[in-house]
Amino acid sequence: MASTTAAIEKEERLKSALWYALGQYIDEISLQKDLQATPQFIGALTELVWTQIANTARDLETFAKHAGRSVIREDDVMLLARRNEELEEMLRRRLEEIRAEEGREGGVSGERRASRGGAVAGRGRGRGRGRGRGK
Amino acid sequence: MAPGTANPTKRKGPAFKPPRPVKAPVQSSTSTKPTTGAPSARSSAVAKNAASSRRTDAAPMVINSSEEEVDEDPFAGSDVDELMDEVAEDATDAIQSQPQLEPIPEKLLGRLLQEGFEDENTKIHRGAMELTAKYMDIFVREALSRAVHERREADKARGGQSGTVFLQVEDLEKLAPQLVLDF
Repeated sequence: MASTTAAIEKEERLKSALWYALGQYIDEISLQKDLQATPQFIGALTELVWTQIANTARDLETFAKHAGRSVIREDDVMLLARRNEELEEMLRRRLEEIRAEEGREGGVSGERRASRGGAVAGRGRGRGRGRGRGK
Repeated sequence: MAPGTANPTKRKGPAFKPPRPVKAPVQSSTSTKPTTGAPSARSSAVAKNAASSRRTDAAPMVINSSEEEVDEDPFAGSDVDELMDEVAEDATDAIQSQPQLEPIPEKLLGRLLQEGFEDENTKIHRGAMELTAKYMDIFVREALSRAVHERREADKARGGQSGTVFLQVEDLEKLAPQLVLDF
């Protein structure tokens, strides 16, 4: 009972964080573009993005599992765009950028990587750093 | 189109594909015969940019042969075409012009993804994480620009002015099904 209340509370907190982030983003856009969004719009967008992230997480997990891994890799993410060629092209370009960055940072000490990678997933950090150095 | 003039940023290449090369020969053949008004009008409307100089040469000829109404059409038609192109390009501008902004901070996204995993042991590689961030980034931008498009369409249908765009929930409701199918 207490654990479910805590879970709901945690979900609410995360949703608020997402709401805030999207609100900030739209505010920023409104300054540049001639547009305004109602608070209800931002709320609805938050729900949409929230659901999309949840679905994405489960998809990625399934893709990785299917490949016999418990760590999600870039190839799994590319599968998200399998039905949308333009999206795939955009992601492919981003992937090349990421690979190039990794190649550059591989020579430098891993400290910067660690500070940034720490934000991603604490448990994945050690392994990700090791790979970067190896390259 | 206030936003278009206020923000003359780079435009996405494939968004605007005028069928000039295809239409150009048709236009040159029909412009010699002013009596076939309708086809020449449409082709010249589309190919106006390419053959504008030729068009100005041909225009007085057509007016002299008392086909003023037919001559009126290509310019009215081309105006409408250009306006619609403007709207479409503005919508894509909303995604294209701010690459530095990110809608969802990476830390938050990482946390949300972690929450979404069913297996606690699932981890995500750093590069994959950045790529997912890009994916969600595109998702949010696309949602916004489609919402802007929906709102402009709705305002236009109501005959309203094309000033500030007020995004509402109904815009999101209209675009959500297709958006989710596309992602």
